[in-house]
Amino acid sequence: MKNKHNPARKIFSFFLAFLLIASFSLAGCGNKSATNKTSDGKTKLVMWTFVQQHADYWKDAVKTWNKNHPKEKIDLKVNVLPFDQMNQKLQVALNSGNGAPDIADIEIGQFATYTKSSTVPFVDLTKTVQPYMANLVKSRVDNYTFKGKVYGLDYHVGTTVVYYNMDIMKKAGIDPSTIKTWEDYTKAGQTVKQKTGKYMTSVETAADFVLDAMISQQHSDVIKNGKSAAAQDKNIKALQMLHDWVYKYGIAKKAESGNQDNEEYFGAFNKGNYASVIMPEWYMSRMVTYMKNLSGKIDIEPLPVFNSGDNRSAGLGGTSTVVTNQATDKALAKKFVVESKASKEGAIKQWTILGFDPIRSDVWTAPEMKADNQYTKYFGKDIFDKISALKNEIGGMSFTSSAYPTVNDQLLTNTIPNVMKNKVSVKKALEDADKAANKKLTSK
Amino acid sequence: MASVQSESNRQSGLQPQIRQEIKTPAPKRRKINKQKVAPYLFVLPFVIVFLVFSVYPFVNAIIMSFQRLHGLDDTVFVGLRNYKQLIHDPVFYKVLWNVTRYTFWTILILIPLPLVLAVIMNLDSTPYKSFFRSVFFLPVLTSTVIAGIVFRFAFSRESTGVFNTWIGHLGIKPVDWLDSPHTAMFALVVICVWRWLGVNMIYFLSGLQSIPKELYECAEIDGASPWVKFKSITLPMVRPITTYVLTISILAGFSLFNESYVYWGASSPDDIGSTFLTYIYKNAFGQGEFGYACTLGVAMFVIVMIINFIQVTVRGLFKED
Repeated sequence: MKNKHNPARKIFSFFLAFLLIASFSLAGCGNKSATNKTSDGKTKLVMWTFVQQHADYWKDAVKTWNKNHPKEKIDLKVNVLPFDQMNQKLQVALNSGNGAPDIADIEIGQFATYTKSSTVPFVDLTKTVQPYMANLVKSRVDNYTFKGKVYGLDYHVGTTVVYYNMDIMKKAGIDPSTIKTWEDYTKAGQTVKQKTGKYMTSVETAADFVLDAMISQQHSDVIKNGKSAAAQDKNIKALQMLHDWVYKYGIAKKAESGNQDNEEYFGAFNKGNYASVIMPEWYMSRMVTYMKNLSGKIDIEPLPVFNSGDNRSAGLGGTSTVVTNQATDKALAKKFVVESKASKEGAIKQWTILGFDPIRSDVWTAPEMKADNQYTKYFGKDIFDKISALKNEIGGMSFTSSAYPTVNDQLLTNTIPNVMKNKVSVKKALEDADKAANKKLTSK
Repeated sequence: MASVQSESNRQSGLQPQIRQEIKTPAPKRRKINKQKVAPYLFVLPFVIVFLVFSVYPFVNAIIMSFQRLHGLDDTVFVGLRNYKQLIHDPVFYKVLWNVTRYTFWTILILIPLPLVLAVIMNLDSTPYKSFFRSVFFLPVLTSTVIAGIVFRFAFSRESTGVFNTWIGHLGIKPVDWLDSPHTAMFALVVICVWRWLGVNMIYFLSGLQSIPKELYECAEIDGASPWVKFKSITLPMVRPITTYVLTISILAGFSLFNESYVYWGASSPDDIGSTFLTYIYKNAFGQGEFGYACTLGVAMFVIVMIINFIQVTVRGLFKED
């Protein structure tokens, strides 16, 4: 009973209560520390990414930077978060004007959601990128250019190619390098089906890499003047071809789980169920990891074309690194990001660390590209000889237009599934997509 | 008169005592205050957390549902425009229909089936009871996402998928489970039943075990058959549990997200598996339309409230619990 009035105890309980309240109320204020320098004079920068390998790339980049810039050393902290979680956190942080990192990775499909705001929440990199522009693959810089300002730099070009399974192609007696047009490809597919019983390729029902490649190689697009323009003749031709592979020629089937970038599909391709797959350069990492049976059996070739003058490749997929408008030292972060991505040294690392085709095409002929690694072991040493030949033929699309998420969602949710179920004609499906997407776009 | 006088006497007699108390009131008064204030202090943390993390976002969501919102400095008040868009949005009706069907099926299965299982588990003659109880309960301990991925592979469109292999034995051709409305709904309901069967069974089991044995003994003396005992004793006695399970099933059904998301991501073909939450998610984080996402959230809140209100009223009409 005496304890009740024990002053020491009272003070202690007050202290506890205060601590509790303080910890509750301060938990939300994860503010950056007042000084942004470490004790040894390095500038602290925080980065968010959703890929562990990207974190490795930046950890290496900061070492290089500190070596080359002893007066402006950086202490980089990289946080790797799951894709969805990082995106949510970043959107909320940038929208609310508080809590964002200095540097962040943004997937190409997400970029447009950030440029909807009247003020883009990223730092303009145009001037810093300018000296490197001549060597960068333009369509990849364009993806992150908004109203004439460059806001981010990618990790790769995503040069899209055809990966042929040579076991099957040899059995069918076809030399892939002779396939120049999609017509050739279709005919070859029929031979493959006849002689081996295997499908030439697969069609996606829940993704649109192949369709996008075909659209962009014809210099077409799904967006025109900020509006949905999917039902253009060239696009109809592309989607019609994919449809016909399944329903007219029987040389393709719907991909496992609806897209070519998932474990179920990897297993099927590894088993030799398909003679070829059309995917960007980064698909090599999937092959090396998941399709070990095919090591030494894959031939990389440019995309066939519809008409002469079309591009033989397209740059698909991607993730850009941006400097946010909440960065503590914007000037330094800008220089660091651009130099790490666009300098020769940095670009080569995009291959040696990440296995990507660097955004700077002049390094594609560098000797480092032929050095032994898991990719050259799997695909041979001439990977970049083949990719270099395409360097001026890498088409792009309005992936980062503010209308793109809406249009693409319409294509993926309605158009492609319905066309691939043979429920509706290609032309009508694309026209419906335009109608639905434009209705949504104007109501916003 | 006498009583009045005695009272006044008593009052005057008490006077000095009171005065004395006023002179040294400190300890007593503080004690009274403490007792009055203490409960409020105890609930204060909850109230603060509730206000900051529930009421504030709720109110703000309603405000945001009238705005076009692309960031802090880009907020435009658009009046009822989002709501007009909602009324004319075919996907809204699609997701509403999806979650309604889903809720209907889960309730239809997840109330009778666990009840029957619970009755079996409660019988003295059932062998290995605790083993089976754990087995039924196990699924809920797994992560929905991991279980979802496993089920997604099981529902593969290939002939080698688990479910396609099973129906293959019956001579049925492989089905593209996640690509047509009915099979997609089946896939969603299957994973839900697999996951929640055990939990609902435990709820019913606890209800069954609180029924006094004497009731059954009396019924037996009166010569009641097992069915009559079930109908007239068990069912009415587990009524509160049924109400509870029904309510949480409705809430869970309308807020379905994880299962749909692991099957299809935020957009399913033709929106066959899209739910309120995946659609809200897609609008907010896929397309950056936070205002419209809030409008959808408000619509969902209103709809769930109406359904629960109806449920409570209808059940209340039949019996006052």
